Amino acid sequence: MAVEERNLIAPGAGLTAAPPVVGRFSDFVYQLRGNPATFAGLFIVVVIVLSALLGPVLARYDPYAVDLGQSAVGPSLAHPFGTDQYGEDILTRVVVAARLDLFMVLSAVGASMLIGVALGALAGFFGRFFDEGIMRSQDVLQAFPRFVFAMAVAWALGPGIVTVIVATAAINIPGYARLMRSLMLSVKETQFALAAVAVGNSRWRLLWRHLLPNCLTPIIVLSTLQCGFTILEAAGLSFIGLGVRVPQAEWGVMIAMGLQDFLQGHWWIYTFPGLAIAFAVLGFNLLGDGLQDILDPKRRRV
Amino acid sequence: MALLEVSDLRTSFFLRSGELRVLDGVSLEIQAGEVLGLVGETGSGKSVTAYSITRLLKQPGRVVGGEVKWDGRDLVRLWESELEQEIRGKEISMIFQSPREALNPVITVGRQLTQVLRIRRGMDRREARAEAIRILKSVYISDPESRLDSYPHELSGGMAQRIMIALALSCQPRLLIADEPTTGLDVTTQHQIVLLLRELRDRTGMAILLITHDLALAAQLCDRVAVLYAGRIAEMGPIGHLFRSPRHPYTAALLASRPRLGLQGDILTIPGNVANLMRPPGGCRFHPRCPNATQVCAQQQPPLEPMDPGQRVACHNPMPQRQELAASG
Amino acid sequence: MGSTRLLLYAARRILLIVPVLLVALFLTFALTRIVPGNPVDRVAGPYISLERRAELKHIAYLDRPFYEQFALYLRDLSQGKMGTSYTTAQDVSKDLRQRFPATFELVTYAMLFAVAVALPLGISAAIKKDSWIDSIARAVSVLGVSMPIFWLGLMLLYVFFYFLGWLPGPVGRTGSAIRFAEPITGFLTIDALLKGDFDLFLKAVQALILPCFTLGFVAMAPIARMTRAVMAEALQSDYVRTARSLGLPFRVVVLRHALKNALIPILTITAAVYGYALGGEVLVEIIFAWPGLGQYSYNALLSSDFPAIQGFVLLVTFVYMVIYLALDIATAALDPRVKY
Repeated sequence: MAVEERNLIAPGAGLTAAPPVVGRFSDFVYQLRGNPATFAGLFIVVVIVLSALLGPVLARYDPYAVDLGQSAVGPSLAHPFGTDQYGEDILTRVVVAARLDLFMVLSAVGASMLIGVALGALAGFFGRFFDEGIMRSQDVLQAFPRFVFAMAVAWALGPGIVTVIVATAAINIPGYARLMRSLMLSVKETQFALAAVAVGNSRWRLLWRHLLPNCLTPIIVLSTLQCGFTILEAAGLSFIGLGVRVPQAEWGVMIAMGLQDFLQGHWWIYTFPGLAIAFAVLGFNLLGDGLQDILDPKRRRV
Repeated sequence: MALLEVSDLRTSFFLRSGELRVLDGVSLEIQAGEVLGLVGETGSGKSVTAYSITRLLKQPGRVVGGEVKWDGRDLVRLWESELEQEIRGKEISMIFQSPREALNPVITVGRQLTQVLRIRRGMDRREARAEAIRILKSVYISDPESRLDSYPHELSGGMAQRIMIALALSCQPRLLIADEPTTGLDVTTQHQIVLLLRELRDRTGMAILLITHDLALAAQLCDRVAVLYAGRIAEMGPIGHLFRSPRHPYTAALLASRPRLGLQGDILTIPGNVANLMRPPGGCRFHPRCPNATQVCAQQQPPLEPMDPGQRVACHNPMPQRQELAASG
Repeated sequence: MGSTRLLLYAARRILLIVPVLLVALFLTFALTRIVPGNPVDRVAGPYISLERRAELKHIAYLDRPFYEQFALYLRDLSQGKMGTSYTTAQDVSKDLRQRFPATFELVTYAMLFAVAVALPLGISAAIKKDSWIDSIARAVSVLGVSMPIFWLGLMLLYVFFYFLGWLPGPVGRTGSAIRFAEPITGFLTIDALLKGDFDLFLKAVQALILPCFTLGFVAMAPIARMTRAVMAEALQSDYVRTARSLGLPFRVVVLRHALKNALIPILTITAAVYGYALGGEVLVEIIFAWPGLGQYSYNALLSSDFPAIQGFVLLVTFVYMVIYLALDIATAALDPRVKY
């Protein structure tokens, strides 16, 4: 029992198979209005996505414009977030970094979702040998503390963007596999699945056309919450120098640069990128929690 | 003086979409040693009445008006601590439907019982154990010593309900509220529980408020019956009168819709749906479904008034009294 | 319920740990071997003679095939040897033993702090839903999981050390360069008290405050959240209503009836958070220059100290497994419905 719940700390714990809610957009908006926290989450995520898309256009400076004459200058009108040791404008870098961070996070979550969902579906659908083999391998993966495992993988691969993606994807796979397996097991027994077999659907068709779409809701919720966690872990890896490296505009790296100057009291170098991370993670968490409430019929507004 | 006197009790559930008026002025009284049945369809407010009396409503329910008089004290206005120390358990106890869920799953039967005895009756460990065994015997649990170590999930439904009854009796209350005590039990067990309740009433002289949707069960156990419809009492009176000559059209329909031996043709059903409590119909809440409804029914709520052969009925156009009964008195 | 059965279960559960640990061991080992380039080349650099290089490779078994390396590693491990660290030049097991107490003290206090705050907070929030305390609980749980732990540490350091000057800066366990001769328990706070060195005790406590709070705050969030959720559910349950209908005092209802049911999910999340803290702890140690395992692993990663990395991952994973083992046994003992 405890093994099943091992991923509790990981986002989306306790997600269960819910009958699909008939998604009418107006209803979604109604649910959202009664839930200001979710609305705030959605707003934050939209802001992050916009700055990822438009960041370089909006920015007033070149994020990599070294200007040693303007080294580590505190916040001012010209540089609202101040500048770092190289005289680079921190506001620009915080905005521009959204693209890289979001790219890494979405790639990692996307990859772990594809792999984890496939593994979980196979385990849940075919059972027996598949189930045992796949789930025991997930047990081993989860025997490592998440971040420690990511550190080891990142170190073995050497620094770089791909490293961050692979390392953070690896630790998210078991969450998807477990969720998908349990969803599969419960959905497989439902009336409509039995009915679909009864009218002569093939097993693959059943899996592809009937079972997977019904598992979609919890997967979406889990992915939203995973995004938040992954931002933290990706930034953590870059912070200790195992991920993206120094000149890059990336939130974790920028905090690491701030650490070097800590004793000089240049607080702005690490404060603003950190706020950006907290802001982004908060957005994904609020949105994920809210989606869980909205999409789960048992927890909807009445 | 009645043991318990409920007057004009109003309870609402406050949902985001509005106030749900589940009880809209319920009045009833229970005499010492009497068994009163509270019957009605699902959603009529039977259980809510019970939980309003002891103030154990679950969220988001709240008593918004009325009185619950017990020994001259109004339970609605009593402090929670007074209610806890002086009323619950010692004066009024409850048993519930789905008894296995009503017992704490991670505490043994023995501990649940002795805990109550020690805290509520100030017994020490050994006294409590002896008393627990005595109580278990009195509800006919075989081998009570070994049962003390069982967990609720190890009990059958009937056994769990006996344990629940033992718990409720542990502080010797004067009123037992039984909320659908036989729901979910098989027929034989149901019968045993009914016999046990009847015997306990005779032995201890406590009053029972029996909440049920099962008219046959009410007929077996009750002295009087109150029929609840959409949060209001429709009709109340001695069980014989009510069953033989119902005056409220709803009671009549309820009696006609129950399956009986030797029934020919389809079971009669009551047309329409149970009243929407968010937007209840004006006047008499039953009027949209009522065969006798007239203009006045939609406008005025009928008061609960005495009617022959000896019940009280809230209806503008009651059913005629059955003749054979009128003749016999 | 027989306690012998529980013991048997515990024994079986301990045996089950062995295969998982072996696979984890293999995985860690394999991970350090897929690194491009030979460890000796990577560490020693170009300025070393070919003979010396071959000698080094021989010492580290690197001139042998992969499976033989693994077998030799297992053999050494069974004798308590984890290989010689490239940076400290002593056996990794000794390195880890020296640094473990610092980490253990930090994580223990942080977890105690997290639980001590999260439990009452979650319980009060569940009792008084939508009250101010509920708002605090919700704010803590959403902020705690949103903040990067290393950033939180930095911010706290800036405020309390750099700006206010109330607490010691990032200089490790005592806030000064005091070396502690022979540890008794390894917990500096306890050792200092045992030796009657009150001054050292104060220093140790002061140095612990910030790292503990940093780690504890992040660990607190999921525990408070889970406590609130399961307690709210328990308080709305039928058995709580039964307990209340019998006139049991509210305190008894909450603590002995509701909490006893909610305890298993709370313990489960606490164990999961412990694993999370073992990762976050690395970052906290870097920020606060804490001389524990995290700092050691960080240095090992930077200098590609293979045996040290292997040893660290192994130890942390082992600790994590032991936590889960304890959890499973506690669950079995607490919940009569668990079949074992």
